[in-house]
Amino acid sequence: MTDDAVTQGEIDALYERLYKEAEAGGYHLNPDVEFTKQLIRGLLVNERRYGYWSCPCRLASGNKQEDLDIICPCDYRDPDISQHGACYCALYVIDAIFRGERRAAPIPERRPPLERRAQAVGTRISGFGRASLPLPVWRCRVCGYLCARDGPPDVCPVCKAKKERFERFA
Amino acid sequence: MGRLFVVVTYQKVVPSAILLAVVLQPDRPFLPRKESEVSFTHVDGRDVGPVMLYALSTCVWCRKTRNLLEELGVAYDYEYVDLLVGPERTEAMNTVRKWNAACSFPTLIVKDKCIVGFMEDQIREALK
Repeated sequence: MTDDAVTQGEIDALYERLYKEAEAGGYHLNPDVEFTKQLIRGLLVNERRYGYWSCPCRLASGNKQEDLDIICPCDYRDPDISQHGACYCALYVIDAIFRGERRAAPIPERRPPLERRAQAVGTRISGFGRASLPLPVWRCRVCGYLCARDGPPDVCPVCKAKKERFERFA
Repeated sequence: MGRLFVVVTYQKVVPSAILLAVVLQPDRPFLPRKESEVSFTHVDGRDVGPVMLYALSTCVWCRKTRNLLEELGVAYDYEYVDLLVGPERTEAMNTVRKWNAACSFPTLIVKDKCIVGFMEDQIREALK
């Protein structure tokens, strides 16, 4: 099995890389290093199997187009972190968990079933303009970073500006 | 039904290299199976009735669930659905969907009760 080909060195290297990138982008990796490295091992196994970092805690189809929304960091990370304090697999967590004030717990699956995912994509590409956008667009007034989600992120992933520096853009 | 039985049976007739392959690849046994039969791996323990775990081999919450079952010492069967292909995967997913519309993992079925996710308290309660 290719699973066995994932080495501890690879896991450690990717952990270091993701840790730095998370911190640079205003995110945090789960502070339970052993847990987090097991997730990273799963990402590397999935990379071997499918060619991309499919979420280790979700069943990949092996078809990249179908799995795009669960390639890490997944489409559901930000809303799950906002609502539950961690993403689905708990690789990424909020500040309170990062600091050890709270523990990551299992959360419900936000990803819609296959048939509703197809509909969601159809909605997204069907029109353009504020009225037809499926999500509001938020703009970082500091650096111009744009993101489409229910509310602005706590910290701008590009320039680290705080939530209050965001304005509604569309 | 347990793999143990299969291994013991074959021990008498197959060369040790093939036996080793069976042991090392429990999720992909070379032994022929009925096409429509999802092959659970059995873990021995205290009999509390049927306990079936649908899991992913890469999922850390599934791992935690297995660890808890082993800590509780109950007998259970598990299937790593990500290691199944074709009709076996379809059949496993059809079963998971019946219990858990989100088709997420781990899905643990204890007799007629389904526990979705590593819900430690619920699992302990169900397996008392």
